[in-house]
Amino acid sequence: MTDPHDRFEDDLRAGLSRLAAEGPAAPHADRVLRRLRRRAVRRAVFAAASVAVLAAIVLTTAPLLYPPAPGGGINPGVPPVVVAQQSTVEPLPPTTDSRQVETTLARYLASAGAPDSMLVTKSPADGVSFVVPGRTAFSTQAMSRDLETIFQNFEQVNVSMRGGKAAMVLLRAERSQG
Amino acid sequence: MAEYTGEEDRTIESPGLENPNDRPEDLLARLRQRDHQALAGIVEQHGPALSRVAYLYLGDAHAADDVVQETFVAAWDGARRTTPATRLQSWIFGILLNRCRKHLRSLARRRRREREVAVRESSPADPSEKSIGLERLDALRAALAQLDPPLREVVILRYERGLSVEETAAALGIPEGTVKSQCHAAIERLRRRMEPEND
Repeated sequence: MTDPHDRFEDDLRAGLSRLAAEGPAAPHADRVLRRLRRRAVRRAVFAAASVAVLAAIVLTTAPLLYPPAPGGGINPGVPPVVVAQQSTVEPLPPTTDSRQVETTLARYLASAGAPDSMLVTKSPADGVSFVVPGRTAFSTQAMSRDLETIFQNFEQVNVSMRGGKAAMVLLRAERSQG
Repeated sequence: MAEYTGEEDRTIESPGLENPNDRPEDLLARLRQRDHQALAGIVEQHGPALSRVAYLYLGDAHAADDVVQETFVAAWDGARRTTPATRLQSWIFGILLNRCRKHLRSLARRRRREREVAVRESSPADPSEKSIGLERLDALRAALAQLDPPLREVVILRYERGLSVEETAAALGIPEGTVKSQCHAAIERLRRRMEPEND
């Protein structure tokens, strides 16, 4: 006598086989290969599009992140570009008159791309410091160095430049005297 | 899901396999070397079996066709991770069942609780197959669809594909003991659903 479980399993095999026969035909190899090729094309297009989008993002955001400063320079967030030629400045002679100070400073500010108004102070304790109104296109470090050079023969300086005209108090350095 | 165009594509000429009787290990070795002809050979050899299993598992001809094609594409991608010890049949059935599970998860997300059992018009019965009638065939279809996926996988591989316990375990990545216990549980559930009077 047939075991009912074995008979059920035989029926199950036959039934599964019948059900499976209702399914789709096996895909032809050509269809699979075409699918692979289409995917390769899609990936290539996507990669090219990604590069294009990335380039567009960079080109769009770079000017926003690093906007040009007034006067064609760059903002302080960018590594400074020294506009003034740091080696061109020379110390004012200790006996110079106020006209020469005005002329020297005005020429220097023009060469540095700075406005023609500024306040320069120098003291034995603090050295040279300066204030230039507005956004500037020069390196403050280079300007400090240049002003140190210009006023190296003076111990105390207080120069206020406005529109190219200067009001000043200068005290010669001890070592420069005599 | 790709549009199902199986009928028209069946007329496409064969790509011209160099040797359709390539041994599985040779096909897999060539597939690792990115040989398109090897992929074509694997499609020719395993396509029918994969289609049957996918259809039994999913109960949807369009989905089965799409999943089988995805399986071959995934096999192409994953061939480099195989070794000479990898058995092609178990490996590719494993890929297919992963794809089937993924498809069911995706379907479940879309339809939530609705698990549609597509009731199709049966193919004309083969006169030589008298052992199971249409009524029982529909009962089997419904019972199979209600079976938990892990049990369904085991039943299909063991009873439709005739894989051994060892081969089934390799395809599913589970221990042989689990295959046996799941197979037993699946048979009992199918029997209870199809022959409730025997309970």
